[in-house]
Amino acid sequence: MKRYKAESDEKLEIGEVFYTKRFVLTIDRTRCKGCAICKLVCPREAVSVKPAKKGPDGKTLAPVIDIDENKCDFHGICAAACPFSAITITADSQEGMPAVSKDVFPTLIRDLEIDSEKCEPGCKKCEEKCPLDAISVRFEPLTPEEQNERKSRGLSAGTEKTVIELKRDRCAGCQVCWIECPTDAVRVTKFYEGSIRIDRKLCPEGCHSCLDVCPVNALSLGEDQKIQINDMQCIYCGACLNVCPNPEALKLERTSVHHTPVESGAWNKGLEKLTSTQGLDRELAAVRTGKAREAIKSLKSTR
Amino acid sequence: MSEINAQAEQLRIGVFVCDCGLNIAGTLDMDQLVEFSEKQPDVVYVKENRYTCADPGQNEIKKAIADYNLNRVVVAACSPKMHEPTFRKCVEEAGMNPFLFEQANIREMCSWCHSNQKEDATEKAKDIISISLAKARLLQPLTRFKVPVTNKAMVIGGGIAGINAALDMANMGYKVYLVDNDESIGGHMAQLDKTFPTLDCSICIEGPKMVEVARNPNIELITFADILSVDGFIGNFKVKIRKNPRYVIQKNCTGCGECADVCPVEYPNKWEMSLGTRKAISVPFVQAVPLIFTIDKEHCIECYKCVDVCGGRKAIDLEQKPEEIEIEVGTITVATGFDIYEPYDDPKWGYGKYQNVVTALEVERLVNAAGPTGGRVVRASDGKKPKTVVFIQCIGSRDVNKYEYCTGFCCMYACKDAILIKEHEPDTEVFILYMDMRTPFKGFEEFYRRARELGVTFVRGKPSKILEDEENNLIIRTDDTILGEPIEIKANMVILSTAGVPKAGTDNLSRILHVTRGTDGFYLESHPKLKPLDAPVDGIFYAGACQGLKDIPYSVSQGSGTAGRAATILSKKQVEIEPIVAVVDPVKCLHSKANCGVCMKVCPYGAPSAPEHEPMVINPAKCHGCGTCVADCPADAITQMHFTDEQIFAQIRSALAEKPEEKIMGFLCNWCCYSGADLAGTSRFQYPTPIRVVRVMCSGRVDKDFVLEALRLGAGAVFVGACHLPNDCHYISGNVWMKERMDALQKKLTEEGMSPERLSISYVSAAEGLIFANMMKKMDQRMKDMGIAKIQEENAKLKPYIEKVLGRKGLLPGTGAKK
Repeated sequence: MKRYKAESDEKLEIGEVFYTKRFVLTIDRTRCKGCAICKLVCPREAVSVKPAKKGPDGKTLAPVIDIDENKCDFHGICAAACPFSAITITADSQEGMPAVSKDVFPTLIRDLEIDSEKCEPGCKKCEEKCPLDAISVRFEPLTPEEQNERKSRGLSAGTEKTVIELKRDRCAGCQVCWIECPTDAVRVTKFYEGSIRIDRKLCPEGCHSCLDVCPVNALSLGEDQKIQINDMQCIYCGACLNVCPNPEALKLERTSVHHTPVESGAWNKGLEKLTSTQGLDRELAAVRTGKAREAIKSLKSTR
Repeated sequence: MSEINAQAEQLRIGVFVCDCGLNIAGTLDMDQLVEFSEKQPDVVYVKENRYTCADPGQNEIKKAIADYNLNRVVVAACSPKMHEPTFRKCVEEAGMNPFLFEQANIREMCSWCHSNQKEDATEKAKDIISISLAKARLLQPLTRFKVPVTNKAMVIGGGIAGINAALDMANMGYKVYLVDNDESIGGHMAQLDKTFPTLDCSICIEGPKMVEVARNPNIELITFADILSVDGFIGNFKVKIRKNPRYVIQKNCTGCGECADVCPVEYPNKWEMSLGTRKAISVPFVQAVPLIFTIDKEHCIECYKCVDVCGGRKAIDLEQKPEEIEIEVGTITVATGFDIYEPYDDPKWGYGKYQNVVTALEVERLVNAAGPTGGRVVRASDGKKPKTVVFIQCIGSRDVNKYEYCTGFCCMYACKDAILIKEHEPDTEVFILYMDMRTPFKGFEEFYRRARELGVTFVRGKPSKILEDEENNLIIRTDDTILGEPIEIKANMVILSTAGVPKAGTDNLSRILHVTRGTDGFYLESHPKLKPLDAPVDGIFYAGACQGLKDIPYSVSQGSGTAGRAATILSKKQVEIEPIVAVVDPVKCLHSKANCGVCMKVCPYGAPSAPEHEPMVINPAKCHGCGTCVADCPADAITQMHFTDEQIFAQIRSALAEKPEEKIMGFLCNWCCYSGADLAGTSRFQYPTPIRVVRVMCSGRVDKDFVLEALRLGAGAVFVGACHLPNDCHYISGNVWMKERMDALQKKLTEEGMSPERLSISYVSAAEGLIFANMMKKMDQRMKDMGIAKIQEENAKLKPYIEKVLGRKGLLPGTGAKK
């Protein structure tokens, strides 16, 4: 059995190689934003965060994630929880997270839908504004049949149709596409819900590290040179928390998670770590209520 | 016949001087010895015999005891290590207490080693006889203790040796506790594919035995448990065991394995030599006994899927705590086995660096049909079958820089694995690079021939270097000593035949059991030839590789052998304990006044104990009779039965009565040095005569006062002979305390004006007869070089200090009370 770690600028790869099995974990460094949610949920504490550094232009760089190849069990809980889908697990060259395939951890529901028929012709705002390259828009000419079909439905005529390709695994729910869309073509829901606040008194003058690292531009500099939060865009990933010099200045918490259904002690622990004990209690209460409702329904239907 | 009461009556000693054919009579003047003995005080009967140990000689003794009302017997003949038990039994049959007998060694320590110095030897023999008489006069009758026996046995270690020991004892009708610290019994044999020289499938023959153990109503199997402490003594051991939590309830688990199916976490399986994985809840291998699953909490993410699927069986308990139990047994058999050396620390083999370099045990798992590759021997780098395989022998073994011993089974297992590879893939080229091919036992030479006939190439040479190429092939450079040329072999796979080593945890267990290990790290048996299964501690036995590396039939034999050894104790209702124990005088003991505790510190058996501020009590069943506490007691409050201070002082005074400056006063420990000196005589190594020997059970018994008294009486030199440090002492640590004591004394005496070499503190093993003889030669030469005058001058300088010390204790003759 051999364990290895290979580092490059583009990725971190760790692996466990047996005679007939090979587990590999890859962090795509271009996608990883240093939020360190993986470190939070890892049951073996295999993840560590290297301290934040400043780039050549003075901007703070996103913290770098490191994984101890001797501790990692390659079940992929980190990959399932990562908002940016930066982590991939392969077992024998097949991609997939054992924790998810064994129903022990859910996947985040990346609810992103764009009805391209509602798009303004020639509009690419969503693609332009998306900070995570989750949307690509192209225009294709309409065939005469398609043109007629559209006319019969009462839609505006035109010569092109908008074709939208969504890479949902990249979408972190910042909702910028929905904010910027001139029509109501976009539907997007956050999977991490929570709240974020800055204590102005404790926020150091002239520091804008949080702004530098925010992956979705949810933080900006106001006219008063103080940091401002755009609550609608924040995805509650916590990358800013990792670089804030004053731990009391930035208050960020997650309160709930939108995920696929799962019943697992490992998820309960993960949820507690991601949100809080109250967050866990709330979800369990909701599940219980849901089950009770189902039970009553089934009783009613048997009458 | 009632025992003759020796105390109230006047001493009537019988001396029996033995010719031993010509062994003694050929060198010593027997008439002089008889005449001398007749003149000694308290001697009422002297007889010369040709062979005292033979029936006629023994009958003479018995007759004399009856006719002459003897109440002490001294036989001047061979070494007591030879016939003390014989003569003790003889006098006991005549109605005398066996501990009123003393043997004077005038053969091994006189006639045999001084055969060309007849006159000096005869004078020495006279001294030897009077030394024995001095002790005999003060001997007291002693009774052997009887202790009850718990007729249950414990076997520690469930490998093939332990399994056999347990089955044999159980089938004799004894209850046996078989304890193993692993999840399953089976040991290393369960990991093998086939066994040499028959190529039997290993688990096929061991599996049924494992199941038999589980089913046997007399065997209680306790697995995944550690031994915490062992208290007690032969027939009466109390063992504390901690059962480690499996997080699975043993009696509810059916071994169905549904939990492992749903478990999401995999981790490297140590039992598969980390070649394959196991789930966080799993068994190490499918034939595990007991078939109970275990959760490794390090890897378990507590998803509870296993609990869900187990359902109504409710076998999983994630809150399970360790459980401590205490078991009482009469005997303990240690069968803990061995480990395999993994040469990560030796860079020249590339183990751990080059992917296609593996150990032989890893190959066993590869070639095993139930192993991680389904029986295919393939390379780790690319999963392909190797076309050229090279075995390298003696990795770590026979190496003064690593393990000096020869492991003993690697030549055979290399042939075996080579044959298996050849039989699976006949086109494979197989080389075995060896130093020697050691295949001595039944069927082994034929097996070696079989490997050769299958086309395995044997090259005599040990490689100096292994290099790797870009395709993970290995380039081996070695000397072919038969061709007389260096050669280079390109191998697709290299298999290292690594050494067997003492199992991890042996040092801890040996401490718990109060047993010693040899310098090689394996448990030290009581006698390598005649008692290979006994530990020096009564009631503890060794079976299998833990006592020394061995293969399966040898381990099985030892397992059965220890069952027999244990049965000699378990079959009795009581056992007798030798009465040569230490006894504390409660009046003198300083524990009551000052919480002293020195005896507790120096005793390796935990024999002395007492509540605070009460006089120490020594448990006679735990006391092994080394006498270390006796010598170290600051208040001289402890006496050793049969080796009292009084007796030893009398022996010293008798030895040095005449011409002390020409004599060496020797204190030799029974197990090593005395035996070594005997061996010098048996081997007929000649040496000068000055030494006069007092035998003690352990060098730890040698009190500072003995050395001082010898010097006070004018001895030319003093010799203290002990077992080698650090591991050889029969009583574990007696020699360590002796060294501390004597080093300090030597320093002090040197300050007071003694030439340091006049007190010789030496270490001689029972095998070092020649070394003892040479030591005697050296000491004699030094004494001659110094000359009597200088010796007397030094002794005079020491006298004030010695008389002060001995006088303070009341040990000077004519002053104060003798003990």
